Amino acid sequence: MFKNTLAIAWKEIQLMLKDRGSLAILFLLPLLFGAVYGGMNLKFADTDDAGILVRVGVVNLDTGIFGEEITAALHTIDELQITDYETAAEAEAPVATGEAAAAIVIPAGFTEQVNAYTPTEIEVIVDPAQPESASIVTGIMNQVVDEATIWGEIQYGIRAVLEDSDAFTTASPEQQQAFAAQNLGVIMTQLNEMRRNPAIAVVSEDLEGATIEGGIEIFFALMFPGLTVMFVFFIVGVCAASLLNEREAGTLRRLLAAPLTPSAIIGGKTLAYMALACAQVVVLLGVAAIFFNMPLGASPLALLPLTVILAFVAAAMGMMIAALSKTPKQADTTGTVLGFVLAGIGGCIAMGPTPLTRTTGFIGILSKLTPHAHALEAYYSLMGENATFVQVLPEMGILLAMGLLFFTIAAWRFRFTD
Amino acid sequence: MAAILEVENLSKKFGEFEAVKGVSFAVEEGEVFGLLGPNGAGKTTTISMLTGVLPPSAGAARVGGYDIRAEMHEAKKINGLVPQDLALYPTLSARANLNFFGRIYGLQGKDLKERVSDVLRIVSLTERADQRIETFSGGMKRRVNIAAGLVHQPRLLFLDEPTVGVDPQSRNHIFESVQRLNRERGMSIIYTSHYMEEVELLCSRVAIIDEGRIIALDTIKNLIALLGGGVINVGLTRANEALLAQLAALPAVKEAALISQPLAPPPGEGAEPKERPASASGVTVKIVAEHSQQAVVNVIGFLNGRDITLTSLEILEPNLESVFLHLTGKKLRE
Repeated sequence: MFKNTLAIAWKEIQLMLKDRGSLAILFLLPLLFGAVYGGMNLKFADTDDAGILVRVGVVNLDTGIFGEEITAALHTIDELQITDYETAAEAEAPVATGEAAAAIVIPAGFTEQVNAYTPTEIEVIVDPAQPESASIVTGIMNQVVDEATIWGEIQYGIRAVLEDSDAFTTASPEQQQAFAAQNLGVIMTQLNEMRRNPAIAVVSEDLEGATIEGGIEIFFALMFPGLTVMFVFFIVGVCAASLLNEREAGTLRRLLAAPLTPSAIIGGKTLAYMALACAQVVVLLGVAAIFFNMPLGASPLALLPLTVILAFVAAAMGMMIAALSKTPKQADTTGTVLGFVLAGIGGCIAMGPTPLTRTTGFIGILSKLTPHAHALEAYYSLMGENATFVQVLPEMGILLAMGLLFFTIAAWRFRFTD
Repeated sequence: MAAILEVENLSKKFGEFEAVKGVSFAVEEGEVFGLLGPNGAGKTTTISMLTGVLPPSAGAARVGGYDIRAEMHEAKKINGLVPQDLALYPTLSARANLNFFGRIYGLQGKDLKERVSDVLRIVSLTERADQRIETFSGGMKRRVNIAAGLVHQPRLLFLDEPTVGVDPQSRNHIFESVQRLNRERGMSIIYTSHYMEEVELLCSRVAIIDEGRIIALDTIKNLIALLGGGVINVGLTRANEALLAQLAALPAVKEAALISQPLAPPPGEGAEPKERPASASGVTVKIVAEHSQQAVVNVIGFLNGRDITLTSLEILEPNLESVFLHLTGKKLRE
């Protein structure tokens, strides 16, 4: 029985290998699609990394530590292209001609004034023709100056507290200085620690509510499985047409006259198309992993059973379409249209930040009716979120149940005779 | 000799339509048995039931002693089917096709390789074995189609109209192959065709099938003997029962009957026999002769003597075609 199933599967694979057109659709098209889509996303991601480049002139007239630190801090900001000038006039000139968006002038005695806790200011001259850039520079400067301001505030606070202390007033100037520096060091260390591990974390989100933590690779863990699942279901039409072609060409008659059971015939074909679907997944995800750094997750071995089950669902769906169609052409068309529609509903085409199964409301419920959505959810969980095999078992179970349902309908409804 | 196939009252219904109406026949081991009938007579449906492609609606059959209802799986191992359609995978080579059809009968390894080489030799396609079937001529495809039915060495081979659409050269090759398989390997063959020449050439016994029923079954010699020395169709302007009786009584004439049109009702006692009213084209009387030439002379002399106009005369040589016409009133290829 199993040998016969294998014989039919092998014959089917031989026929597939001769059908170059279908192979191109099943392998080359998704690869092309993936390369273009993935490439575009990579390009956008690279652009995001570079940020917006704003030309800024800096004049540091201060001789103290704060002027030096602020200048150094400005140089480390990727979004700014800093040019140092000697005088304010030199820095303002490019702003006037529109070559630079802003000029920052750190006044002489800035450090001393901060230390003395007397009001001071850093002048930011902006180009009114570039309001967005000016706004960015002003925002950055506020952040940078905050550091110095905090420093000054703390120093002033320490000095005010110590000056009221008898022990401090009786100490020598060197001792006073050391005492103040020690307190300042302790406070600043504590402050920096709080900045690194804030009690309340703020997570940035884009307009659609996606976490942008993890970067483009995590997005690829959704995008490439989405494309893969969509194209795996393209075999539905091919698979359905192949079974009906046997009937139309008369070969089914010959198979029925041989000592084969109908389930061996359907099983053999299912097996062959499962192998094809598995090969599709390996090629597409392999290319994504190698060329686009798509992660395979913490449990890459769990991808194997998931892929086999996905392949079974797609092949069984093909058999079901064959059982419900009259001609190979009808089956092929139905399979292809169904593949597109279900891919859309299942979230394979217009991908959001997470699989559609996680969306609330009607769309989320609708997507859960498709095998595409469950497959995509399982792939994303494994690869993008490092889920374990056990964690994706429910999705695999749902997929398996769907496949068995399709296979049962196929075996029940398929007419082996004309 | 033991029967390899016994069929009893086998029937097949498709809804209300009964395609096969209780056919019964037996095929001896080593025999080439013909199923002759026009298209749609029920030949393919009968074969489909015997090979397990279709379940019978009623009746029984045993293939090599196996009941086709209870033990079809075993019966299938004995059977070989060469369907009327080219049941092959055109994008695969002849060898790949034969390998596949061998594998589904359980052949593998060296046995499979030898069997495939053997059948390729039988159909004279060894040289083209590794080429795609879609590049073959119609006749070559037919030969691969036959080879696919032979690869597992069946004891009983069903050849369903194997020469449809085949050039004369390939047809002769197929005939030779069938004769050789039967003669040298003792293979039992059921050969269906609507070409009476093929059946006459290949088969020892023939069942003539029409509208789902077997209407005659015998050796070709005995079937032809039904027609005696031949059949003469005589066109007349008029005829009646008395005339038919007089024609049948002539020397060298065996029977005389009207064709296709009902006879006038028999006359009542003492009444004059009514003449059959002549249509625009008259009537046709079929005369079964013991000796056709002598019968023609006698019939023409008789009609001249009674001033009956002869409108047409057709002499049919005694063969299966004329037997079929004699039995059904139809031509085989109608």
